[in-house]
Amino acid sequence: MKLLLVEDNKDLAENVSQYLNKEGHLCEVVHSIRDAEYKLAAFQYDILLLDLMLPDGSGMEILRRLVRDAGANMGVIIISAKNSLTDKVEGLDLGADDYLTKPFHLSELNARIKSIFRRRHFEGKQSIEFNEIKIDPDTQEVFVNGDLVVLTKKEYELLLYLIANKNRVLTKQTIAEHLWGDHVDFMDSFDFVYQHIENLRKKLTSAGAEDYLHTVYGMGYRFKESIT
Amino acid sequence: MNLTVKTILYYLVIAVLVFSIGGVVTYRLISEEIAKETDYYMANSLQIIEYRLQRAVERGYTLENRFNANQLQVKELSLTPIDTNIHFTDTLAMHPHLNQLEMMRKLQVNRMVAGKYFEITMIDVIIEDSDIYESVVKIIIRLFALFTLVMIIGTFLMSRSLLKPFKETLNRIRKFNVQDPSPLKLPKTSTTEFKQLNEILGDMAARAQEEYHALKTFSENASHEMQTPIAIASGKLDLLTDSENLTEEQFALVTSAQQSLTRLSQLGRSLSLLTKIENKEFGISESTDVSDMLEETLDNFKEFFEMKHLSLKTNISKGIKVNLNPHLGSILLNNLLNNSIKHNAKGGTVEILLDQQHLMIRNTGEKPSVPPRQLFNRFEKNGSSSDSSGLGLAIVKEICDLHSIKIDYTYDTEHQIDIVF
Repeated sequence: MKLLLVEDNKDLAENVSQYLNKEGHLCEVVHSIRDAEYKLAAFQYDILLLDLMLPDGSGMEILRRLVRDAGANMGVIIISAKNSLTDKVEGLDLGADDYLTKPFHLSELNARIKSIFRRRHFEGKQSIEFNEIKIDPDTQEVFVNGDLVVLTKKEYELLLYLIANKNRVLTKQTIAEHLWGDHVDFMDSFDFVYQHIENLRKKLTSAGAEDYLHTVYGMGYRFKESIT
Repeated sequence: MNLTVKTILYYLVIAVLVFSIGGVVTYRLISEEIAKETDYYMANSLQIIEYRLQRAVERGYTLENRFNANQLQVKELSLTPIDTNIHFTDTLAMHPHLNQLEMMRKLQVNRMVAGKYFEITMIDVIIEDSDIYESVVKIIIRLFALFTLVMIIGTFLMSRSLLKPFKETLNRIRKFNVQDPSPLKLPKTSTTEFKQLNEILGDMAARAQEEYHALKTFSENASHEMQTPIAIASGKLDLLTDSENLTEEQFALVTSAQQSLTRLSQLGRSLSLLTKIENKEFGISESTDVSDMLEETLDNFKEFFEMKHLSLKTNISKGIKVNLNPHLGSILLNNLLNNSIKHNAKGGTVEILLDQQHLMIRNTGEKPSVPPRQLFNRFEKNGSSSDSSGLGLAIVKEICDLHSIKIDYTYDTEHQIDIVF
């Protein structure tokens, strides 16, 4: 997947590009609107990661121009420090696919990039497969060896998130923030993460799947094949 | 007391002073003039009497009958008088018509007429001081009344036109709102003082708007600017968690640092939200269905209730509409329900009641360490719980204040929040 990150803060840009490159994507970084437009004119990208507050103006300008020369089948995620409803609404109205507020977890960004890529390129019709587990994003159904496993909405979201970030360590904190967003100022939510993980584990293994959920130091989880 | 009435009162005080001094002066002048005129008239009469006396003496008439009357007496002197000056004195004498003693003017002089010496005494009625006094007072009082009447009417008419630009200025200032970026427009006037006033007010208003805008953008920007460094730190920690060779201790440290960063970021957002509410950046005039909103929020929290084994009792009337900004309303309900779960014991209860005027949330939980109402203050926390920002209830209070909604927090055996719309 080829991504363009427009972010004026070099440290933050480096975090993101390093993480995404490690994930196997190709992430290019520019720091201003001018450079972004230059790149966008010259090359084709799958996903645009767009900061709003840039030294030479607002990222919304790029969005507006993208809307004008529509046709580019490119996903857009706005990454902004502004947690304002009006900005979110404006961004999404202009055709952005998602709005992520700083600070965010890189695993969260990763999951959203994957989900947008899927939506954009396969209209959500392509299933996600991990060995014997198959997820149909369109109907939100999960199959193990072809048999339907009934998951709650939260368990489904959790599984999707784990598979999007497979082989990585995800802390309970990151998972809780993904599942509950702004509501996550409970310490208790870590217990809730544990409960959800355990329920999911039980449902998958009892349907015949291998146990891919590994606990890391009691504080995090990693979704991966055991034999690696 | 308004300016017009004050002006009139000042004018009245001045008028009283001027008119009383004027009265005294008038009285003095008139009585002096009258005395002078009386004396002059008597001296004039004296000449006529002298002339008649001379003729009488020359013709040898008896003087008694001719001259001695009530008001005139001529007495022949045997000795040669030394003093021939006219002497005026005031004396009491019988009034010719009134038949009573009155103050009169007396002229006495020694004169030589046709070679003989006579003492001539004349008495004349004078205008009494009390009469003059009365007249002067009457005149002054009438003048004063006339002056007062004209002055009051005049002042009212004048001030109406003079103060018109001032009143207009007042009106405009009253309607002035710092949040409105359009400049304060003040009426044109030819009065120097009002021109200065308008100039100063215009400058002040512009400065206030500027500072308000600066403050607004500052508090907003401050919390935004904060989020980027947090995002960097959080990203670095994510990369660190992702590396393979972390020990368990290191992993615990990273996780704990992550949590603190999340808390810091939420703190920034809460402060920014408080500032936005304070700056009245949210409209409040929307009629919002609180019943729907409450049901929806409860739905979001459902799993938390279940996971903490809380039994939830609700009595929510349908279609309760309140003037409430929907965004703020959902923050308010979120914070309150959040608290009712967070500060609850496992297996506790939450009771929610919503009717036409009233929302009550009651839940079990430990007794707060400070008086409950104090928890509406910013950064006021129950005990030393580090997982609480101390801003949740402050935000709730701020939202209620913005919408003029009453809120109370009490604890008897359970926590109870009462909101009266």
